[in-house]
Amino acid sequence: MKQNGLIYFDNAATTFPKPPAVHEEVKKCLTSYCGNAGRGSHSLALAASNKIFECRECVAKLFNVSALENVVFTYNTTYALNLVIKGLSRNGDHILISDFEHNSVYRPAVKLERTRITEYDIYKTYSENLALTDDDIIKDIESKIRGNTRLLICNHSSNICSKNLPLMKIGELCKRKRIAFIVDGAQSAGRLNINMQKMNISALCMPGHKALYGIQGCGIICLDNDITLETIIEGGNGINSKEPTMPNFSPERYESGTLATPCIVGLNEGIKVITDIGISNIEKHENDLYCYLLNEIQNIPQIKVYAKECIGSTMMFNIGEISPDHVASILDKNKICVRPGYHCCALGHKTLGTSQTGGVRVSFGIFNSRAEIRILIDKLNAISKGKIL
Amino acid sequence: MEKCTLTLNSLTYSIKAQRLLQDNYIHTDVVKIDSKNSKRGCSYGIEITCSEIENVREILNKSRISVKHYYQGGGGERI
Repeated sequence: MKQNGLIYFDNAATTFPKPPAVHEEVKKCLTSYCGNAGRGSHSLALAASNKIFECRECVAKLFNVSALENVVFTYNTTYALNLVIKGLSRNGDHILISDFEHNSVYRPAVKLERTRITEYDIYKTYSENLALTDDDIIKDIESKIRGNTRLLICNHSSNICSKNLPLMKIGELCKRKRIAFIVDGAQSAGRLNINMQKMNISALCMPGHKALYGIQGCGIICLDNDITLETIIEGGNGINSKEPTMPNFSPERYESGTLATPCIVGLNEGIKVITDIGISNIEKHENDLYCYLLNEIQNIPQIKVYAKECIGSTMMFNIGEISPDHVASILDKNKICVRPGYHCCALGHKTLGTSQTGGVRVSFGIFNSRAEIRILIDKLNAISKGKIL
Repeated sequence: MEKCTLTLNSLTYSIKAQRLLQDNYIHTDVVKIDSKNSKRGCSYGIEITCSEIENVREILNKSRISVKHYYQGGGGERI
């Protein structure tokens, strides 16, 4: 769907446009009920609280969270992952992360190691230009588990290609080994089905503004019943105000400070939209776009597509020696939005062998169409042949 | 009808309790607990008809909603 005459293929960064129901509810909130949720007792505060409660219910249902109070709102996925990783790590623990983790996992793991709190290892999901099978991934994880391994973090879907990790199998392994299983659902929540209880997920972290179609400013943690995090942010939350410490129950334990009510009510509407469409239909739609693009793009001279065997909503490529930033800049001049560079994913680029070059990323959303991809293909063809600079 | 007030963990739990009880045809008001009745500072809960108290306790227990305090009388600010 063209918006402002643009073709938007940067949905892995944030989805655009948002469904009309989302902006309508955000506007309604700002104009009619945006009190401070959980604070005070007037009608606007309660109206905001009720709306946030509805969103917790909606999230809990979508991801099969054991209880709605285990749905915690944060400000983004990075914040959510930091709260979980640092809130679960204890001195002397060992952490496992995949070779596709975003910097929002990689950097906290490095920080924890450098401050000598924990150590980390990286398990392989991709090797020698080919995605490992699920069984080989599990074998590699098993070979790296130590007696003190406490956390395993798994990027469900990569943000630089469409590599998905096998949550069900990793979850079973973590349950058997009594390791907390943390899932980064930044690219998958809303695109792929995630069932927390069935997949034995201890904590699921995700953004509101990507494939759940809310607006920027809201992230989510869904916790398993057995998980209690140490807090890393303390402050007011509207209850037990005379106590010097945070309460020991979710969600208020982790929600210090004012919540982003307009973002959360928008998220609620976004989830309703994708639920109506059906996550499986969204997956099918985006896979179809991927296959169409892959089929066409391979005819373009000098194109190299990375991890092309992984079908999904995100594709990364380069055109010969042309800088990804230059390609993106030309596309931008032609009103096509893509993202060049390293995508905050040092590990993933190392895994795919693009640490020196970066790449051009195209990522789909529910509003994209084959017709838009056709236009992209034509422009890439012209770039490849030097016809537009 | 005499009113009783149950103090719950938080406003989230109070709304959860209200909706749960509503599904069981029990009317409640979510209330901010009067400061004089909340030793730990700002607290929330639900106000019910006292005759429903045992029924309410049983329903909340089954759903693992713990009741922190209970007292007769309104004493809370309806919200």
